[in-house]
Amino acid sequence: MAISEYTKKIILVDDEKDIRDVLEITLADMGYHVFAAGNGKQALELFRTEMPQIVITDIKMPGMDGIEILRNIKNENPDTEVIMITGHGDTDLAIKSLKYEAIDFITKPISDDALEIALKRANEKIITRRQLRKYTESLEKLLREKSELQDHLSSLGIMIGSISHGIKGLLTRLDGGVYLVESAHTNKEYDDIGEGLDILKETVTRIKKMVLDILYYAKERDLKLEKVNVLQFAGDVAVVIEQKIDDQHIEFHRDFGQDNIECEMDAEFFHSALINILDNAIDACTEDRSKASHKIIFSIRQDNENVIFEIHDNGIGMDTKTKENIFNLFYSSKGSKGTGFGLFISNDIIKQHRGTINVNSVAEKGTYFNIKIPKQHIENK
Amino acid sequence: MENKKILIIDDDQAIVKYLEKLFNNNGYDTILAHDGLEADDIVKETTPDLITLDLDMPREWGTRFYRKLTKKKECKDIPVIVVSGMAGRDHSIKKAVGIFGKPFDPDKLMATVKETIG
Repeated sequence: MAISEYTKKIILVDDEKDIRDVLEITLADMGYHVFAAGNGKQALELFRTEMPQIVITDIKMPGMDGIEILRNIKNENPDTEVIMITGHGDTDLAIKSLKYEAIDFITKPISDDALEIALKRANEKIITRRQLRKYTESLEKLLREKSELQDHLSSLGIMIGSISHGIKGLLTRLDGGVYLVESAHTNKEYDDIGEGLDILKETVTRIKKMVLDILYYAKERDLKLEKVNVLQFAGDVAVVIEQKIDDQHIEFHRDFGQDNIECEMDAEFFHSALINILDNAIDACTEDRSKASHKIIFSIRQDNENVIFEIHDNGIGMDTKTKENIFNLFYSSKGSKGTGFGLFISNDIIKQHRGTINVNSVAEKGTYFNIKIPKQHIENK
Repeated sequence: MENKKILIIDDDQAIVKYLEKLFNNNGYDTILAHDGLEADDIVKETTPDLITLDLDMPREWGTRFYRKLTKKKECKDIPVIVVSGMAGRDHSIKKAVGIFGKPFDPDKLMATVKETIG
């Protein structure tokens, strides 16, 4: 019969050898692979090694009886179907066995028909259970996919919201820059033209940065690793920052040491990661109006395996809420100036380099970033 | 007669300069604040005729400043115009005489200002 192909193994338990022998032949004829046991102990041992889906057991046996075998088996693997063999007048025991979830019981002397009906019932239950599990699993998978899709959609929604908010601010700045230039022109206040142009230039830089951030987010690529001379690399980063703070009252210190350090990294990505953090340091200083002078220190150290980049600033610092959220996408404490991309991307890049980023910050006092990446890139295990 | 005074509150320096020039060109004096806390100090000493308020600012949100402002007897009648990228999303500025999303139309903004304080 077709269903038996799933349920080849059966354990047959009876203390009477004659009954065992006859049933074994009948079951073997039906296509089952039969393991016979003369007592409960032996039956449970076989059950554990053979892991059959069906067990047929006599209900009344010396020592461990059928009910106990049933309870043990259901306890160890509830999916196993157990058929009880009962004598005449064992109705109470038969009903008790159903309570413990035996699938059926057959009465001695055992007719082939009764045996076949009980086995059919057991097999049907096994197949139904298997199908149910399959359906449940695919339903769970669908639900998981649905919730992932929802997450994607909602983060896409947040992203579009955040970007359009940023763009609105940038457009207003462009309007402003153009208005200032026009106004200076109309009023013949030519000295004021520079002010408008500066705003336009800075805004264009911000737009470029924003577009690059969006592109980075939209298209995550693998690292392009190369051996990099760290001093030279850090020098390039420092130059960009020095240009940015050119006309603001912030001191910028390079503390690079003399060691020649080589490090395997994606220089382009890692450059962005550090620039984002240093940009924040500049913003933290410009925003802070409580101190007369501001300072950013950019230092490099190494230990046996790692290069360590440190960035100190004595700017505005962060409150607890900001500290907890700085690496979250779209979180920004910078009002209309922030998009919430910067540190999220930095963190991502540093993680891709199998590095760590730690931050220590005290509101009003300043912020310290510690970025550590291995000199030799560690492949993903 | 003295010019009317407008207090501009926005964290973006560029937008502050833009609004300042726009209002000056139209014959108004301006006072500048880069966030709500700075604006707090200003309204303690002087009473502007009108305030333009950004909502999304670091340190303190525009809505919070607004709430504090309307609690002060001598300030609660100062007309407020919201100029913000977040405009439309916030309902706590109910009594604003105008709500402008960024980027705003300068002619419409000026029309609202003139209508409000002449």
